[in-house]
This record gives sequence, C-alpha cells and structure tokens, in this order.
Amino acid sequence: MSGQRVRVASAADVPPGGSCLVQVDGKDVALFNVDGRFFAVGNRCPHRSGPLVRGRVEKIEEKCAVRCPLHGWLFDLESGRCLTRASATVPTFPVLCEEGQVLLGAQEGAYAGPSTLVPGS
Amino acid sequence: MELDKVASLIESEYRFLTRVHDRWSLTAGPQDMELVAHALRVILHMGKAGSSLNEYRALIKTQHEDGGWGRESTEKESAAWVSAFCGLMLIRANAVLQNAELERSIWKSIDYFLKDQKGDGRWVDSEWGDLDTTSHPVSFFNVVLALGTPAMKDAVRTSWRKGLRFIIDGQSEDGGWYDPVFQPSGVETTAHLVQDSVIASLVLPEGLPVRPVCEKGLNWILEHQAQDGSWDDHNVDHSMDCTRSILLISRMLKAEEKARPAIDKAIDWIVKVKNENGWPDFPGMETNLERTCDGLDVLLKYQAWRQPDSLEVVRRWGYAPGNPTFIQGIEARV
Repeated sequence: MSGQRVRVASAADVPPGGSCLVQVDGKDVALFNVDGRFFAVGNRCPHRSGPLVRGRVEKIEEKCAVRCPLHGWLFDLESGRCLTRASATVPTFPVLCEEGQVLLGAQEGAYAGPSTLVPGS
Repeated sequence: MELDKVASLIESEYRFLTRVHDRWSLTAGPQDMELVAHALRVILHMGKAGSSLNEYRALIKTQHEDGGWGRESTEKESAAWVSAFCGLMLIRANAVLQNAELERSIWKSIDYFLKDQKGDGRWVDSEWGDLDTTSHPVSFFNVVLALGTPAMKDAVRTSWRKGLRFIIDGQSEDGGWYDPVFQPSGVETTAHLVQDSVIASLVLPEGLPVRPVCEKGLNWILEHQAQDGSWDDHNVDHSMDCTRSILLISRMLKAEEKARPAIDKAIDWIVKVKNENGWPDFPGMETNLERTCDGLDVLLKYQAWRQPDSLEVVRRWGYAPGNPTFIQGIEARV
C-alpha cells in the first residue's frame, strides 16, 4: 500500500467476524475482519444511508460481501461494487495490518488525516 | 406502557419534527420523496392533514406526467415503491380534504400503477425486492377500495387481486416471506407484506380468503422477536415494522391476548432506544428523520390500538371507512 496511511484500530479490537466504525479524514468507514482478512468501505449505503458496519457479511462464491441492514443491498467488500444494483458502489480503502495495528490508506490517494476508533457493533 | 407517557412522547417528538420542517417539506425545496411520504403519514395521523393542504399541493407539483414520482423530488424517472407511498398519502389525506385537485392526482397515480403492473401481478423497482415493491401498490389499492370513489374501486379491482395473489403465493411454508436477493432474513419483507397488503382483505368486499395466511405471518413475526423486544439484531426500522404489523394483525384476527406481551416489550424497547430528539437506525447512532417519522407512527398506532373503538387502529392504515378519531390535540403547527 503506497501513500499516506493512518492507524485506525488495534487488530485485537476487531476479531474475526467482527466489525467497527472508524473515521478517516472525517469520513465514516466500516472496517471488517473476515477470517483474519481486513476490509474497509464507506459506512453509508447509497440507497437509504443504512450503516454498513451493522450489516451481515456473506460469502458469495469467492467474494466477501456485506449486506446493508436496512434494505438488503449487497456490496463486494473488495471492489465496493453493489451486487444487487449494478450502478451503485461504496468507496473502498486499502487496509494493511502491521504489528497488530490496522492501517488504512486514504481513498484514491486523498489526504489521510487524523483518525479515531469509535466503539463498533 | 402508560398512555400518558405515550401521549407525552408523541407531543415532544412531533414538536421536534415541526422544528425541522424545512428538512422534510417540499414547500421548503427539493427533498427525498420517501422522507416526504413518511412525514406526511405523521401529519395525517396527528390529525393535521386538514390544515396542511399546502404540503399536499407541493406533493402534486412533483408528480410526473406518467402519474409516478421519483426517488428525489428533482428526479425525472418514476419509481414504483415511492410512487405507491405518495399515492397512498394523497388518497388518505383526501379523505379529509375532499379536494378536486388531489382527486385528479390520485387518478393519475392509479393509472400509473395499472400501466406498470407485470403480467404475473408483480410491480418492479430496481431498488427493492419484487415482493416488497408489490406490497406497496397493493396497499395503495387496498385504500382505494376502502376510501376511493366507486369509479376508482372499479378501476383497480382486477389489478389489486392479481397483485395480492402474487404476494400470497410468495409466502413460505413457515409463514414468512423471503427475498433471496434483498432480504434473506425475511423480517422486513414479512412485516411489510402482511400489514400492507394481505390483511386488508379481511375487511374489504370481495377480499381473498387470507385468514390462514395472516395467522401464519403473525406467528412468524412473534417467533422472531428477540428477548429484549427488538427484531433483526436491534434494527430499529425493522423492529418498528414488526411492531406495527402485529398491532394491526392481532386486532384484525382478534388475537390481542396472544400478541400483547410482544407488543408491550416492543414498545418499551422502541422508547428505550430513542435519542433525545428522534430515533436512530440502531441504538446509539445519530437520529435519522425517516426513522423518527416511523417512531411517531408506531406510537400513534399503538395509542389507537389501546382505544376502546376496535377499528380505530385499522383506520390508521386506511383499510376501514371513516376518518380516525385523532387523539392528539396539541397545538404544534406544521
């Protein structure tokens, strides 16, 4: 992962199967740990703004996806692409786990400002 | 819960909603139409429709030539789900307002749904599952059949029956409705379908024999309630949907005793998770105005459910003739 990155959580805070809400540069980001692999996507569903951090993670073929808890839109955690409505996406953030810390790169190389860990679900 | 406390909560939350009027009213500028429809439902159930003609005129102004509405008031393409919600608000308000302009708009809305229905009875909206989408035009037509003019009733009857049949046929053996794409858990879909579309047949002339369908639906919802009174992993939206659903179904099936403990627990939970002003999507999150309208609607329906007139709560869905006896007399103005 190149460019600026910020620590958003301790890996121990987000055990496998867990999720938490973090903030990067003032943006709410949903962080997921799926069997030890971390994913980070924008927290708000583009449909009705449902909080994706509260969504259930599902495995569809080789993909990991999160289902919005309000109306069921499904997003590929890797690409951010919506699997139930082709034109919708959520932003994704590159994640690196290093020495027990979870680091996020800012989306599309934008400045990664101070981050804070917010207790998750 | 004590009715005094319910009335006090309704009053304070309605005052909050009126304070943020410009965030949901079309009279203040472009809006998200689903939020508008949610807010208009609160106005209706607060007994304020009669003094809110400007809100309904603003709704008519955003109606498209084809009779539908867009997801946003500025959006040019009509969408089935939100169009049904808007049509429903118009016909219910016009039971109070008796306005010719509104009646013309209701006819346009009816025509939109008659033209937009698929051959197997469903309606389609790319943002919602087909079962959920179909339940809303069927709900609109339920109210047309209860409150509309004779000509309107004649116009919708065949289409309504096809839509209702599509929904009934979609019920699973266990009593729930599931949407494999949008709602595999079935909670919201089941709560929507049984209250919005199926149950009205019990009071409508020429309704289909739906009692067993509703009994299974009620049992499914009761069985899926968590110990703390919520549904679907503390989902406030879905818990409110389920609560409304069992209020109506239990009354219409005369199963109040069976449902009472679940209703009491659900109302306690909903009140407990309220923010200082409004409700969040999940406990502890920030207030969402749409959820706040849902919360008010649930409390208003619960208040009606507790009244001696057993049809009072049914009128809150528009499925029984006559206007609700509005219990609130507060002076907050929209």
